[in-house]
Amino acid sequence: MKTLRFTGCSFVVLAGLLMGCVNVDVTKTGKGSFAPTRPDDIQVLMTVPPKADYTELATISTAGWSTSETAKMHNALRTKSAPMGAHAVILTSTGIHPATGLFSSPTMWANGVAIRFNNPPAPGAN
Amino acid sequence: MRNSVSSAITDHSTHRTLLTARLVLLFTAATILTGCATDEAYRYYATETYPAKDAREVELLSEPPSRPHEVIADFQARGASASYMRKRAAEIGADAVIVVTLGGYRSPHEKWASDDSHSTSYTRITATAIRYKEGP
Repeated sequence: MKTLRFTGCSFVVLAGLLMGCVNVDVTKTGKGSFAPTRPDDIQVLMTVPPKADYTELATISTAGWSTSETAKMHNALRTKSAPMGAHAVILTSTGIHPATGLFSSPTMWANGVAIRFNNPPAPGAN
Repeated sequence: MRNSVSSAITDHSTHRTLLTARLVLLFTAATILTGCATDEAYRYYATETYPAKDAREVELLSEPPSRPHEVIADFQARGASASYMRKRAAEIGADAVIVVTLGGYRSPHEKWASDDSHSTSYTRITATAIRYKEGP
């Protein structure tokens, strides 16, 4: 049984490696739906202005990124939060998983909250 | 005596293996029959309830309509389809359902935020059941 489980896990990991993909998981926490936004316009924030008026839409998490690809990981969060109409993703925690074996490398992960500003600035405004 | 004990242990072991195999088969069949939907979580906002309708009468939308409407419920699940969500919306008498797929694979090779070669993959499907408001 253990051998079967190990083989199954190995297959999933191998399939992921062959596809060369990283997973982004989203869980909706807000009410209703909004029109999608442009991924390029979505802000990635570590802090939120205290007077910002916003609605939380979902929690978002990703793992398995190369430690040197922080910006690509941020773009993945932008891409995957756009369909729900997010204006920004607030990063609540990020970290690095240590390498688990001789031939593996450390990987980066991030958790965040996708939000929508209730009074968004006009498109193109700084 | 030793032989009969050994035989009993072997029988017991075979029985357990068969039982496990049956349980796995049952679980697999149940998963297929239920459409593999997991982590289903629904929220109902309306103060009143509405009669169920045929799923074919429920509009399937990808974003909120411009027509005035009220959000009556939110559904989300993993491994479910748009038609599955439409049926859930029909059960609570929705006029339309806005279905959005979220999450999924992302290629580390993509440079542009707006590019997503895995846009059809998703980890979760969400649906917002709405009812149109009468009058102007």
